[in-house]
Amino acid sequence: MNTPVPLPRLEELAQFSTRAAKAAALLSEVRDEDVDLATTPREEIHRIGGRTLYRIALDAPKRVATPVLVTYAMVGRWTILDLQPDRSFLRSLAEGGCEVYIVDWGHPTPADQFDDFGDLINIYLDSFVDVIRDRHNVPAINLLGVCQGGVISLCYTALHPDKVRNLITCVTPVDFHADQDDERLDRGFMNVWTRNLEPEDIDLMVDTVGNVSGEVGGAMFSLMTPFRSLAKYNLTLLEVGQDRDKLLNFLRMEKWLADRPDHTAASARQWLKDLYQQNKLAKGELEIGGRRVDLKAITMPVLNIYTETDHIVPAPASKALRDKVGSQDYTEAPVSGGHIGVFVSRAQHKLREQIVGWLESRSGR
Amino acid sequence: MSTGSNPKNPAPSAGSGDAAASSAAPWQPFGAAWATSLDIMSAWADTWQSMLQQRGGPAAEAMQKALFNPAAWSEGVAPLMDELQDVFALPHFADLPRLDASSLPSPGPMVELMLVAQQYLSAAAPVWVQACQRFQAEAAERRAQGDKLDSAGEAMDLWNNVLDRTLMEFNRSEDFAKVQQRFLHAAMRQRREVRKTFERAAKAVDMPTRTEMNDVYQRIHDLVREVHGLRRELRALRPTEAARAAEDKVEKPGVARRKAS
Repeated sequence: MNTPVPLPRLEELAQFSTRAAKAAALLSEVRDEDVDLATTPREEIHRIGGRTLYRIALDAPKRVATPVLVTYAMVGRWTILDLQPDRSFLRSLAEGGCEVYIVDWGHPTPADQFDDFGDLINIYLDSFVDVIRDRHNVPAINLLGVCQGGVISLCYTALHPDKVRNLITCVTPVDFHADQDDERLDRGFMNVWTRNLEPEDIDLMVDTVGNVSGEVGGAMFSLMTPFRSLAKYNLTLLEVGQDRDKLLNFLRMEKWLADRPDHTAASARQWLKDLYQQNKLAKGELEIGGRRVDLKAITMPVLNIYTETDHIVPAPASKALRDKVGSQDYTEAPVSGGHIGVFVSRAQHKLREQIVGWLESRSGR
Repeated sequence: MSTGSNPKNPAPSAGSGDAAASSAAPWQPFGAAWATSLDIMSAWADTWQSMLQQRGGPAAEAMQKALFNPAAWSEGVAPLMDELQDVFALPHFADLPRLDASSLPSPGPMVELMLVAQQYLSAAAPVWVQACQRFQAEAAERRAQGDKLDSAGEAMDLWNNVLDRTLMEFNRSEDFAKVQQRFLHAAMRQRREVRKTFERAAKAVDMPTRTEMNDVYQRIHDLVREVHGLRRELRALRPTEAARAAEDKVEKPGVARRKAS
């Protein structure tokens, strides 16, 4: 005998069908060109090959006289820092009174495969810093690095301390083995994964594929939350599909995720072997362009922003900076949100005040 | 080792007489021809024997190591394929095309990839069973605590959480790490194999190969570094040039006087 389906479940099914139909209808109205990222006005200032220096072209009263150069990671595009007008870290900084520049590392091609951290730091970043110094006639700039861009900023500052007035690192790994002190299931998967391989495995991979494809990085991030990465295409999509704005927010993030640049072979080798596996930055053994990176050479003011709920860069990996730098003016600022969420939340003003306020209070600004 | 007789040094016949010799004479050419043909066969037999000793032994040993030693099964077929390819490899000859097995695409990496997929499935299957058991246990616990858990959305949420947690544990496990490492090796070998084939094809139609392009990229990269270094040096020299210009200005009146005189 068939058991009749209880009424509440039928109601739920009906609701589900209605919601699914609405989401499908909304989705069918949206085209890829409707999903626009990085819309804050910007101008190209300098270009070397595929690497570009942009200036955020927003006029707002300046609270910080010294320009701020933002460097994002190579494993993702900087456009996440300008996801949409009301969730834009760069716009927020510029509106908060900073002269903001951003490095676009572009999409490396096989022609870039021999670019290592030495090239990225001593050729590209250094040239961009010089351009800004010349434009503003200042001896040193403010440098703000995010995630891997934070590591690049740390190395740059340690190697060229006279060109950096204040250093800000955001969700930046410093001690790549610190996750072992506070092991959690949902944190630091990349650290575990990389340590499970031998250095020869990394060499084999890089020697074979050259530039490490962006999809490899994407796959790694998917492995962190394997099922949720797929569930977003049913549960989340159904949820956000009830509202056009929410749907566009979701699709912007999807577009950013899909736009994963390849990692140049030489720098990927250093990133995975020297940093993730051998933790050379924290040990003071990292060599960039033939010079040892000594974090003690960082004696200017340092602001280190991290989040306790970062699943990509565990907080202890970031907080390790405190004991490594030579600066007497070191500030640690925990913020709420995830590794990416920090930069795309609507509550940008809090983060902005933390940064702009800190810069403003430093002499010379 | 030779089993044939030598026609140049025939074996002496016991108690031979002229008559016997003359009666055997017509058959001698046939005997010599027979002996020669035996020599050819024995030469080939020697060759085969030598080849079997040199190549067959290691091949059999490799097969034995890979197929009859369960401890080596986890390493997959890649080492065996390497050994076998080595067994059939020949030295290079200047005016002959390469005909040995080492120039052919190896099926090893592809087979290895299939084996890794199988290993992954066999390691992952219990994970799904475990996830189902955990889901049932957690659902029962929540019901015991008075939670109705009667909507599909709630159940789905619970399932997602349980499955994600279980898969995350697996992804961080040693089992997964081993499969991952083996997959990496197999995938890279396969990629190199495919590249080898395509590079041969590219050469055949006068197209640049990846290896040649990488060489060009390397040279360009070295040049970029050099140019950048030179620019830096040049910039460092600029203040000196400014100073020289200033010196020139100071010296100019003197120069003018010399020119006038």
